[in-house]
Amino acid sequence: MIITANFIIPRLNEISKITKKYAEAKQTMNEFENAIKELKSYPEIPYYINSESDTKLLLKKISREFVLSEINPGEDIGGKYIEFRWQINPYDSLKNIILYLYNIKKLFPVCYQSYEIISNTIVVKGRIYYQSFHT
Amino acid sequence: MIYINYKRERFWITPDGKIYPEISISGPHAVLTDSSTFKNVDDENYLYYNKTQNGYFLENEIINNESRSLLEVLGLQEGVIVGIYVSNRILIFTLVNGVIKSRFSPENIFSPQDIVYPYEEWGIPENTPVKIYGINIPFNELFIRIEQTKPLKNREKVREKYKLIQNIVSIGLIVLALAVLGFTEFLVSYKNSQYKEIIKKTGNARMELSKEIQLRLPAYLECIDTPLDKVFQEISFMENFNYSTVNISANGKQIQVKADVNNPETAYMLKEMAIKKGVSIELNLTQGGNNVQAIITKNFEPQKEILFPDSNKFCSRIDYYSKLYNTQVK
Repeated sequence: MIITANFIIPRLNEISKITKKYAEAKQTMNEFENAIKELKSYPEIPYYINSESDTKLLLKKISREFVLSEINPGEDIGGKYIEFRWQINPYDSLKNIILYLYNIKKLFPVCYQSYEIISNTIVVKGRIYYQSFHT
Repeated sequence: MIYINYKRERFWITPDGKIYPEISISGPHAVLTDSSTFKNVDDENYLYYNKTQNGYFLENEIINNESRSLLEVLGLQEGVIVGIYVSNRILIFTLVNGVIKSRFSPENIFSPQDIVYPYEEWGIPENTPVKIYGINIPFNELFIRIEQTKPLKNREKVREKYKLIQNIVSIGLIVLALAVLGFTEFLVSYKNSQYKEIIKKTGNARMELSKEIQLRLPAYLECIDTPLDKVFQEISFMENFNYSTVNISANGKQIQVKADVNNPETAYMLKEMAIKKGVSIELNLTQGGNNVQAIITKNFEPQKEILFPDSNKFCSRIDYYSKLYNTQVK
């Protein structure tokens, strides 16, 4: 009986540990289900998205006009993306730069995360999303 | 009835005191056998026993399940001579230091005066009380005592009974232990599979959450985007002043501007304007007080482009969705 108890007690502890982990996972699962339900209540938005290679080509094209200081791949809830850091020398007016950034945003799934404007240099950090496994 | 199988004598005594070599009996009776002895040890070789105050009375033969110990019926104990008088002879016993002493007299004892008690041989005093059924106690009382005395136990049967119970209990305990072990293992396995299943489901739900965001990617991007034009709109009050250098850093939550102003007067006007606009500003004098560095910090919550009616609510939940997506379930 002592041997049995010695064997059972750690197993019971394990059961308790698994049960606790299961309860936490179940809670997370419920949260996922509610979030998915909530998201489904919003309308879907059609958009154009490039493949990974096309996106890299696009970045190359952009790099003719801007200095691309950093390019890193990444992934978040929105899918896979390439993170970039552009350095823009505003030979043109600031208004035109804003317009240029806005036009890119209209054409591609891109977001600008931050700006650093040091005197005559603007450094834009952003992400271009490309076709991920879901789309 | 009494059955004697003692000192090569073998006979039955009936309640009327008569002796028979063979008799068929049913009901209570007392037995005495050659192997009878009085021991303080629990000897496994004896099948039958009865416990007394001084130890175990052991016998190796009984007639049936109603057999009583003759020595117990007679009341054998230390300091008393007990016995029976039957058919002109006497059978007496006593107990000396736990050892049984006995004497089977020759025949032709016709009165108690003829009995010679072996006081010296047994090492007991001459005034030792004597209780002999048929002489100083009526013979039929012996038969009453036989009925009142408990039957000898068949030790083997008792042992078997307890062995059976012990085996049942042991097997029961083993079965119970195995069942508990089995149930525990089953529970561990069940809980593990249940947990693995929920992990798998959570993984799928995580993918589905991401898929639902991707189906609304432009709205998501709008939520996490920092629009440069709106950054400048927020700090447009600074346009009316001249600066030697201006550094702006902006993200989706905050705009910070570090501007070097040529003279303190302009700096204070800038401060006034900033306060009017509800913007936090800090002025630091530099270059011996000739220049002033203004540090402006402003919380930034730009108005998002409305892609569907609830887009503001959608944006307000993006951080939660992202946090949920990044939750590690393992």
